[in-house]
Amino acid sequence: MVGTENIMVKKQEMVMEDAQKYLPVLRVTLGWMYFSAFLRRTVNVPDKLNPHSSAYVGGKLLTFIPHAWQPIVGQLEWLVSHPSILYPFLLLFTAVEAIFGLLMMLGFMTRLSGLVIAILAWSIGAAGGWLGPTCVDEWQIAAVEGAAGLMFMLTGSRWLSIDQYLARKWPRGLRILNLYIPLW
Amino acid sequence: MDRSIIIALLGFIIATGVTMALYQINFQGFTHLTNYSKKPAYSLSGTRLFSNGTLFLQIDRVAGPDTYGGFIVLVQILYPNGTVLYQWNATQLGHIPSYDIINEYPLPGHMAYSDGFALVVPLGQNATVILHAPIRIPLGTYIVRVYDVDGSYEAYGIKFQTYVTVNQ
Repeated sequence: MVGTENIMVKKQEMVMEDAQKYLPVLRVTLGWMYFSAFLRRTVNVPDKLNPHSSAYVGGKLLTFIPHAWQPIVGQLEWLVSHPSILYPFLLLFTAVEAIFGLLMMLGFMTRLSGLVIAILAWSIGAAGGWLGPTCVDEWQIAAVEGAAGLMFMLTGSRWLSIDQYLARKWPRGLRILNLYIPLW
Repeated sequence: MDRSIIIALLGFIIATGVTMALYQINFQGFTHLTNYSKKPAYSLSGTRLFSNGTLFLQIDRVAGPDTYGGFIVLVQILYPNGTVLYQWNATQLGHIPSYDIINEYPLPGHMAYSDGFALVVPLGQNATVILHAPIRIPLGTYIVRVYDVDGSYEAYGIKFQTYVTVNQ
């Protein structure tokens, strides 16, 4: 009996590992959504990060204010009233999007990237989620990308990824003293 | 229960919960569905009028597309019964000197300004616009109303007007 149960568990684990093969279908697209935001602001239209240009992305935060989630309206107002803080905030935000978008595409520390992307997506959803004259656009983006990010935090991605090799070498994750952190 | 099942259920509940919560927060999707991005709307709260004819029009653009300005083409001072006391037309509103438009948020590309055709107010901007009526205004209560270029002074149940009292 014990033998049969073991075979069942093994079989289930194989099915689970097989499912890993299909995760890159979504992973690279999801990562690109964030990495391309960085490209748009640095390569395509560098003026987006120029505080003196009408293309400056700081203005986007202003457009969020009228119907943003009530608890964060105060923070948004404060941020757009302080240009000297708004600018480094936008640089930091863009850098985080670039780094974790790229990591998600590469499948390097996918679980961590998934968590960061879920937080980014849902934060934008709480602030500017009400925008979008065509459909209910920004909410759709935030909801789907947030859920996808959280899913990758739970599944990791151990195929067509750097994590594939890390997981083979260190199956329990990153070890700090006696603690294992499952980054992949 | 297996630890992985608890984590999976927790993830499922969090992601689904945030999706539904944002649907309600952003669009009141489960009560009265509203998409505030479709039509411009303005709030005039904080507007002041003085007997020497000076109007401090406090104009906050609270709805409409984020990529395109709202265009004010008519500003009216009305008696409470609806008759017009004085009004500024599109030509006048299109040529307000920049020193008479004070923007609360100093963000390029998102400043209220006169473009020659109308008074442009970008989404989220809150500006004080100083207008001068060449008449003396008797003490009392008046309605200050603005019209968007689409001809309306109301959207989403928000009227682009406010009551002001002249007492000096």
